[in-house]
Amino acid sequence: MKIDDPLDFEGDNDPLLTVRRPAKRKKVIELDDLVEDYFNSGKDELKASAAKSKGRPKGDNSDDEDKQVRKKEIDFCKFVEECEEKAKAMDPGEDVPQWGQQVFGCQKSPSGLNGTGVENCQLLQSFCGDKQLGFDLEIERGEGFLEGMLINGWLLKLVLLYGSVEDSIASWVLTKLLYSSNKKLQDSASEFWDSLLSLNEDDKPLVNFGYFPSYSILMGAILNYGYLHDAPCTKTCTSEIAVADTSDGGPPQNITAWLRVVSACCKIRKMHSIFSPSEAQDVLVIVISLFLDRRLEGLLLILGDCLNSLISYFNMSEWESSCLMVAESISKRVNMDLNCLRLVDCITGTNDRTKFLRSQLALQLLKNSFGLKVSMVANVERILKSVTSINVKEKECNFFVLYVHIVLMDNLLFSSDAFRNKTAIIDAWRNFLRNCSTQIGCTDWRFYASKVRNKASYLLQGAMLKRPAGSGSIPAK
Amino acid sequence: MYDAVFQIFQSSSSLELTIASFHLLMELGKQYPRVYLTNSGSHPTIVIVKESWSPFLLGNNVASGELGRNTSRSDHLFDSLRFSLLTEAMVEASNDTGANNGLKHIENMVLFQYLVRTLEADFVPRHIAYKESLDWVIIRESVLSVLLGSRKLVFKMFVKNCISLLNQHQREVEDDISSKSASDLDSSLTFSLLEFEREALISVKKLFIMVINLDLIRKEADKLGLTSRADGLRNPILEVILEELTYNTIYLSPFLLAFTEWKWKLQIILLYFSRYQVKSAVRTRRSDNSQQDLTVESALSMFSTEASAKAMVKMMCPEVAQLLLAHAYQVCLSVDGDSSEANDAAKMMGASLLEISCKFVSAFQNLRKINTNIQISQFEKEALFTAATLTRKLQNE
Repeated sequence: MKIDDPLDFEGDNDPLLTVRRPAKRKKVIELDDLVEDYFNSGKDELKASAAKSKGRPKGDNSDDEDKQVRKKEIDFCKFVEECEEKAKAMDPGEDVPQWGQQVFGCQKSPSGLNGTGVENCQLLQSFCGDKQLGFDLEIERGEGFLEGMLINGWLLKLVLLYGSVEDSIASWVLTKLLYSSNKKLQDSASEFWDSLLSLNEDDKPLVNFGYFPSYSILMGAILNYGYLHDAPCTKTCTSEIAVADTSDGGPPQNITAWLRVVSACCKIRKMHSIFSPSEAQDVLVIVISLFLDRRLEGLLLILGDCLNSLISYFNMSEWESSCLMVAESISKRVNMDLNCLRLVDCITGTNDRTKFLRSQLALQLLKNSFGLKVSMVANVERILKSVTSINVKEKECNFFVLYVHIVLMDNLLFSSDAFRNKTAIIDAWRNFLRNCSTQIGCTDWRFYASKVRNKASYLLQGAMLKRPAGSGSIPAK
Repeated sequence: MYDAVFQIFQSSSSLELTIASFHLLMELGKQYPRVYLTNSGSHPTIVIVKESWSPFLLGNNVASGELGRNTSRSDHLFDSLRFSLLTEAMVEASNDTGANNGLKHIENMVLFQYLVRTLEADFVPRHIAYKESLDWVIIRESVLSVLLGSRKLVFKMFVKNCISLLNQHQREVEDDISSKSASDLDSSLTFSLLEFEREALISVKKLFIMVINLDLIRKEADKLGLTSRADGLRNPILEVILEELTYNTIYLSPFLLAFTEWKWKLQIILLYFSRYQVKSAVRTRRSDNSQQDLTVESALSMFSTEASAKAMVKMMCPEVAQLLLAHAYQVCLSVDGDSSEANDAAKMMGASLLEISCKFVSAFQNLRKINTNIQISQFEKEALFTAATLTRKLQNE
């Protein structure tokens, strides 16, 4: 913690530096106010106020003097305004859109949900104790009664004790999970399926059942939620429907339950593969693209869990090729702006698989950006060349794109260990970073220039630490 | 750096920041635990990294040489008082639903979740180590124990707040996403809100279970004479919960629905019944064990005949009795599936599931004989249905 102290000290000093600027600005605004006052208020008033404030003697020529002063003021104001406009033109930093893409369009109402026929299930039909018991249990409510059983946990208890579950009940619970608008019902249904899909210590299922959630059902659900299958910025949803959509609650309400059941499906792979590898790829792509929806940002942890379960769903042999496919299809979906950085960020890289996915995704994004195709190592060199060929001293240099490239490149090189021993590549990269951090002046006002500069020097530090000669360990702090 | 992230966590202005810093802190906690077990040889030994950062600032930390530190720097850290204030704030926020401070509320809930997670990360390895070594000091020094032992925290109020949190959640879900606002930001907030409430609820439950375990260990240590006056006095949480539930019977149903950990739930129910147990003169046992001996079977026996049921109903409100019976029955069902603690379970049940199912049904029938206009809640109806179905199935086997 001691190391932090000088830093904090600097931090304390910092406000002093920043305080000055607003002070200057204030002056400018005051002048503006004066001019405004002048235009708003009459001549006499201004005179009076001037007289009051400065106590200037009122001579015959005072009018002329005042006029001159006023003219100067106006000129000065105009000058300042011009300057401000120029500065704004030079630094449109606030115009960069934040990350966030529309992932869901209009929600469709699911078809054929009524009349599931669950009230005809064995469990209810075979019950004839009504008269014996002497209580009216209202079983004739059928589905309503079962919903209560599900919410209060009795259904799951019964199923676990029976050791089996009827298909009609299992599928009914899944439908409730995916489409019910009752949050409590969703929660209980996810819990129900989570238990069904769990294995005990001996890798045996807790309950016998023949009905599994399938790829087509889960995909059908997410499409019903309005998932936009192709490409960014699709405007398949007309604005009118979009308006109607937001009014009924924004993001799909069942998405949490959906994510949970997908995670649960991955748990039972040892016994039953619910997804084929290519299907699992599709689901993975969907889950990753959900990271882009701003409305789901509160679900970051659940999304992360789901992502990890899906990633560990693949076999060792399937993973590498699947990972390439996933990275490729995601890179086509996402724009080369802060969105793609958000995605790379969200793949946490806490284990080898996620690290690999992260660097692959970065690679694919860079490849798309430069219009390259296929093959691994040779490509990285070419990409590196393309990135490093940018001359930061040039006037037309697009710093925003450069910023994105730098971050992606760093992820590509350092997320996985693949390049750690390729000294040539690493050295070239470090040289470029050094150039970026030294050649961009700190007074460079151009759009994103300072960001590139800071990022480059930050990454350079990291790159030094990750040198192959070093211990290779990443420090904790 | 932890400090900085934690400060950002607490003062963040956007959901994104809150979640991101929470995520980061959680991952850091996983990667670099403060307390962990190493398997040296046959039994695990506990390793405590004293100098690593913790969001809690507790009595002994302050005492042990942090004099050089500016107090303002540790303002954002949590001590006992702030921890209980946090729960209070959460209760208040969920009380007035129309409030605009949705973000603050979420932040508090996430914060609570993080703090409980930290407590857990500290307590669980200590608990495991304790089972091996029976060394009370390990537990006494746990953050949880120090946190709750402090005089600044009024334990009763704290538990009360936690209980009402559990209830709030139940009620809110019943209202079902009542307030939906049109603006984009708000909808994303309300959307996440339910999720965080769920998580916060789980955290409250975790906290309760930890405290119950702590109490249990403490009792053991007491017996062995290891505790000293310095450890302070605190009522066991089970007693506090029970008291709260006895005086506020409206809390009973939501609490039992929310609190799902079977063993302690059953314990609470049985303790509740044991207050009304008719003590027969024949039984002579030490007062210490009297509460432990009550089983589900004996609780049901209190209602086994019309006369005894009538006697019980005179003492306790029939609605409460029905509710407790139904919940006790539900616990029995889950106990049966849990093989790891079958021994404990059998002790607490005192009979086979078939017997209990039959007795459960007859208990309700007896109650009906007393009062033919008996009102049965949905939950109890479902319980009866389950009992009847199971009885038939078990009889056929």
